[in-house]
Amino acid sequence: MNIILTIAQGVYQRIIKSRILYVIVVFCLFAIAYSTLYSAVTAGEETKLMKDIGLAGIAVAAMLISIMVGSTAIPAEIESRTIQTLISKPVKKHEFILGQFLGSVYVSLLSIAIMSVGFIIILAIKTHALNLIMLKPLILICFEAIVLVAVSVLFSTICSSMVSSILAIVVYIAGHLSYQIPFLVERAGNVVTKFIGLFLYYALPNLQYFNVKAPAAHGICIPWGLVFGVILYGAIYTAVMLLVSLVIFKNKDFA
Amino acid sequence: MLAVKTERLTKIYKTDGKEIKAIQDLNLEVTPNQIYGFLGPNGAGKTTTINVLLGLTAPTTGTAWILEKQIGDIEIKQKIGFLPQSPYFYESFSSVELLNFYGKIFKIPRKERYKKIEELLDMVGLTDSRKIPLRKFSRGMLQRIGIAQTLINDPDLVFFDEPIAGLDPVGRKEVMDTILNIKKQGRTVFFCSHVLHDVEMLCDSIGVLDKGQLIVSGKLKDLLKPKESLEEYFLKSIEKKGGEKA
Ligand SMILES: Nc1ncnc2c1ncn2[C@@H]1O[C@H](COP(=O)(O)OP(=O)(O)OP(=O)(O)O)[C@@H](O)[C@H]1O
Ligand SMILES: [Mg+2]
Repeated sequence: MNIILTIAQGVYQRIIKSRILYVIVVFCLFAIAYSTLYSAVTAGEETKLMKDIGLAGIAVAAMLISIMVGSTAIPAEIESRTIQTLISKPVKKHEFILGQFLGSVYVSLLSIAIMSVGFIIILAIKTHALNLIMLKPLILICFEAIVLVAVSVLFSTICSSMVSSILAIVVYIAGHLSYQIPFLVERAGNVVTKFIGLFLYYALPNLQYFNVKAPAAHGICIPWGLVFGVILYGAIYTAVMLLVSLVIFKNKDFA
Repeated sequence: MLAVKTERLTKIYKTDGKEIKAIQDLNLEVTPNQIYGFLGPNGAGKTTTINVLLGLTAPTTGTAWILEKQIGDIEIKQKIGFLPQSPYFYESFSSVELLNFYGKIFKIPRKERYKKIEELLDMVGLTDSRKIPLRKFSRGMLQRIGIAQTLINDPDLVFFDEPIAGLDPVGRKEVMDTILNIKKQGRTVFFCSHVLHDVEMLCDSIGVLDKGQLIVSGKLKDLLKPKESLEEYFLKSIEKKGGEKA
């Protein structure tokens, strides 16, 4: 089997056996409970809100899981020095990074899939219909999760897992607000402010692209073209994050 | 053919603006099919030398060859094994899972891999605790699974950094027997230690490192006078070196 996949599988196996798994399960249950609870309270027509809130719950749980998993994988290997044994074997640095990344992505997508199935089932019971329109926002939540794993992996090549997760959460929040930067920049008089603003606008992931929860909940059809465009954006952003991680990692000592 | 050769190998660490010469102009030559003891007091640079040889850190100047290939060549890693100093492995894995993971890294086909795992567990006496997570292992058991993992790829050369440190007499004996066994299988063993008594019993030749420099090297039987213990010899050579410098 491929070395990258072996490393990814190792990451997955270790998460399954560690306490992180319990945290993930709690997040998932919380997200599902959150959407069910709402439907219980508002018996009646309120499915729009229920969809909106259910998706939001999944999105937040997905964010927390991706960041937690992505920012612990590499520091765990460095702090426990298991990386020394691994690097002494025929493992190239890019294989190491990609393996850690893919293992984390796998765990995070798996949990999103479980939450989504729970959500769709609850929704089906409630509305007596299979709400496949929910698939598009859920797919985009998956891709946002991939971007967040990549961002966390990048931070974790420089910082501890704790610091990386905090930074990644900051990026998550800023990434959801960054679409407003161009409007602010237009008003700013100062050139420096303008420059910093534009820099942030392009450096931060524009996570609002991935957020189609509201239109989906309102039954507005999201064109596939848009979905693919966003996926492409996510893929490019992820690739850049991984490339930067690799450059940082190349010159790192593991002694 | 040499198992290890270094040429003016130097590693300088810079920490807090201070330079630490961990190893300096080190010239080593280790012939194959023997147990080579790499000795020296704490901080002499033994671990640093191994780390450079394995590519965990880059040398500041100089270079080295392992099995005739220059360091940096990833091909080398197919043919070597490494047990780090006070090793730590994925603590949730069992012995079987750990060996299986490393076996897959070497792309050993499934059937062969399983056979190899059984052989190795048997060799280090861990067959009965194959399913126990490593977090529950004793120091000695960890050291033994650590040695087993160095052999998963049938290496020609293995590096052990302080494999007997911190073990009780029984654990030491087991590890030493295993090391002798590895030599019998026709592999070269390069190992660091400062437990001189054990080194004396195991090694064919030694190199003594002090403050990053090689002060003695050669076949053990040529270096020691009759009845002289390695401990006496070791202290004498380090003192002599200190005297020359003063
Ligand atoms: N990563 C590092 N950064 C800075 N200095 C280091 C680093 N690793 C080792 N050193 C320094 O290099 C010198 C040699 O250390 P090294 O660990 O190689 O010695 P050693 O012979 O293995 O000692 P020991 O018997 O205690 O294991 C020491 O002074 C140590 O403080
Ligand atoms: Mg050492």
